[in-house]
Amino acid sequence: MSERTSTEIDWDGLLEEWDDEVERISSAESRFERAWFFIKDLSSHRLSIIGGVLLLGVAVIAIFAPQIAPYSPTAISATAVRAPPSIAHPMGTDSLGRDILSRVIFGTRIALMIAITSMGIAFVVGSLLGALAGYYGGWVDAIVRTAIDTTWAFPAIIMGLALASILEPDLTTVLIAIGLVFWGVFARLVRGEVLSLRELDFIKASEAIGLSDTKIIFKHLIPNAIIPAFVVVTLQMGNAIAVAASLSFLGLGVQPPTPSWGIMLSTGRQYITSAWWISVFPGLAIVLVIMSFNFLGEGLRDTIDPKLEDKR
Amino acid sequence: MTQPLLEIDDLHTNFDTNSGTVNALRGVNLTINEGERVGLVGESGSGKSVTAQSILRLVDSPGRIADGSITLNGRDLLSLSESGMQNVRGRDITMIFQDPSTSLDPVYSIRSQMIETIGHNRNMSDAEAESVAIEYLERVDMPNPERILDSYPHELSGGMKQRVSIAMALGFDPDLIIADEPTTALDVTVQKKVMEIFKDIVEEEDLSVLWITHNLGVVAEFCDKIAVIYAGEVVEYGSVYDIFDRPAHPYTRELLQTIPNIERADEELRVIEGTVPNMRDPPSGCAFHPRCPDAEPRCETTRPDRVDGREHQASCLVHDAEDQ
Repeated sequence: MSERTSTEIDWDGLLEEWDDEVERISSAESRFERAWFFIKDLSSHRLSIIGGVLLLGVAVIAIFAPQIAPYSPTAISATAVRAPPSIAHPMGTDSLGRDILSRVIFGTRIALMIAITSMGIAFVVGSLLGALAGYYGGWVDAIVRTAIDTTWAFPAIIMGLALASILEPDLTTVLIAIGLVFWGVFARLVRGEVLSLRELDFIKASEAIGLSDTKIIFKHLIPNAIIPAFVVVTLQMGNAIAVAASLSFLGLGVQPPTPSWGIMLSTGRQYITSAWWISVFPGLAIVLVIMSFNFLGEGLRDTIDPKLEDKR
Repeated sequence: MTQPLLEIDDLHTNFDTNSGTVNALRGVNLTINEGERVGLVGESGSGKSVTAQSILRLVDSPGRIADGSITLNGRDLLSLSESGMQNVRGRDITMIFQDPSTSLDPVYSIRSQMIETIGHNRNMSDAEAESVAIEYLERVDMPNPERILDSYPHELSGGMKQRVSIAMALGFDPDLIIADEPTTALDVTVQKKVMEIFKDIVEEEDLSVLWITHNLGVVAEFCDKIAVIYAGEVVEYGSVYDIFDRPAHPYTRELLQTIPNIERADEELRVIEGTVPNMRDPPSGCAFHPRCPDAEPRCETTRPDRVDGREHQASCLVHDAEDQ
């Protein structure tokens, strides 16, 4: 019994220690420092650096395409038809004598535009429907889930083909088709996040203090659920470019003479034995961009995912 | 002072599941007077949290309030429209949650969360809401309110987050605060400090609180009245002194026996035999009879009168609160 009294808790000492702890935590690093740590974390991921730098390069090329390209992407030439790579035409020319390098350079514009816009559509539509489904449950959830399952029942390319062949084949069609193919990815992701967030006290607290549903969904659920969706956007951009290129390849996307990599691949395939450069260079461009998006996406995922944070 | 603030009368809340209806609350009666601190004590699954959710009309699906009435300041909460109820939440009744690590939104600074919620509930401008926020952060003994306002939840410790939650709830200036075990997720030392801070403010401002817990020690220190809940019914109600000194219901007595006592350190810890009944199929008669040491044959068939939640009463056929 006497032993017990000697181990009596020293409340005041503990409380003092606790206040020191409070001081220490509240003087934690500023937001600027945190942003810096994030960039440092991301840059320790070598693949994401490669991806990021390549994409930056691609973006610069897309923006300054008219200044960089040695020729107009649509200028034809009767003297240099299917000319092999040379000093004048580093990637050769196609069957109309157009400079492949210039067309590949201008192609970055179409590719990036399709990737960003269609992913934007998919992201907005998907996140919104996913959040509604997750928050309200019941019949709203049933409808959204059925819609997701239906779109997922078809391979992305078949889905895109079907949509593109119903609508007029042009750029808008491609954007809508790809948006509709990929919205389910985001809807599913955000729905799952919202389902787990809904059980947390701060969402219950938002309800308990009388915030409206709209405020809860837009101010508290979506901002919290969106971060993993950002990673997926990056990873899916590559897929969007692939689907867009496939649609163009099959003649259902962007129409000639627009310099789209998919079209270039498609027109080059009949000369593959005699003039390999017509399809190989646009093909390489597609591979490079998709790869860069995937590298960057993986880097982002590893940096943001809190489950991996402890291991570092 | 003795004006009834919240009156719960014969409240039934059911959960319709695929395998049958679960009667989570089976006629809860409880009155909270203005300026009173009432402790709602029970085991897990006894219906304490469902009671809180029912008061705010936020029972998780598939639950629904099947019967009874809840009156706040003479207003029937169950007949209000959903938007009317949204005005009651936060403004009239506010809630402090159990787990401080999840009760604040991680993507916003404390400043924007406090300003948003206080401004919303009290129709205040951002500047006014901010001064209220600072005032209450000081009241909960936060060392540097300005810096706390600029931080994000992950920069604060559990005790600090819980004090922010308390400051936020107090900032709404509610009539009633429902506290759902707000200290259980904290370390014991922090628990003590948070309790002391909260108790001081509640006493200074004469606030009404419904404190939900399974910890009788906490209740003894904090509350005026205690309602012991078992299997969706209040089985005993009374002042702290009634419950601790003159417990009438066998369940209350057993519950008091389970509190570890440093004076009786050599004894084994006491447990109440058996488990909380399955509420899909509650026992007949008195719900506690299968675990009751004093059970008589009539307990199996006759349901004891329920307590009305106004003075010391026990819902028991064998023992009467007045005889104690």
